[in-house]
Amino acid sequence: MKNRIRVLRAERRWSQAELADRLRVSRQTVNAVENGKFDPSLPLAFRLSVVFEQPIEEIFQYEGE
Amino acid sequence: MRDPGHLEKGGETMSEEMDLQTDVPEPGLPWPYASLILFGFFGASTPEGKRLAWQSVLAGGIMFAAALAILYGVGGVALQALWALLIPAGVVGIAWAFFRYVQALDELSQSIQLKAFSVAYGAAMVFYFVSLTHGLVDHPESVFPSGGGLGFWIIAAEPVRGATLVYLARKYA
Repeated sequence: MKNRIRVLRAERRWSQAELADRLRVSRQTVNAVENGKFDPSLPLAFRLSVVFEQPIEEIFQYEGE
Repeated sequence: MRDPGHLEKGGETMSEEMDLQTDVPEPGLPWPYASLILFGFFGASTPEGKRLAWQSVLAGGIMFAAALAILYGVGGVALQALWALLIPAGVVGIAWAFFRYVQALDELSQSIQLKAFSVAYGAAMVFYFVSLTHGLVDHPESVFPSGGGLGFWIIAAEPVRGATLVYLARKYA
């Protein structure tokens, strides 16, 4: 799964820690999701959608199997 | 957070556009590896970690005191029964504290904890059946050869859980 979290975060000038606070998760989780090492649950994907004010498909791109 | 006012290159302040470059990942935050391998949790730096630590110490202290009371024969039959009940009650207390701790974690930390538990449980089963097989070989006349109960091997698998926690934490770093 590819994502645009780093770009969206940089556009808003948020650090990973700041985004983690907004999402109520640890900074390690933000880092792992951002680097594609961990796929978030649907609720967390929706929270990302809310904090970035973007549809989920604008944040995550499914690359197939 | 990067501050564009402080980024300079060749005497010129970098433009805001350059500050928005996204090809350089922010360095990952190290996990508390020592706490993971020694104590099996992410440390007492968070409120939920603190709560788990003091609840576990309290339950462990009660179990230790109860064990001493049994050892030295403190009280009559009723009190001895109470001391005997306090030991499994302490284990239940620690298990309940850990359950609440895992519930309070975010999803990546929960995933790491649960995977480590399943690996440790699998290791305990392997240890147990290896010990059982050795027992059967050594004492074929025995239906239930001693090789330590499964509970013993679950405790013996705790280092496996610690090592798995560190392995997974490094994987997601």
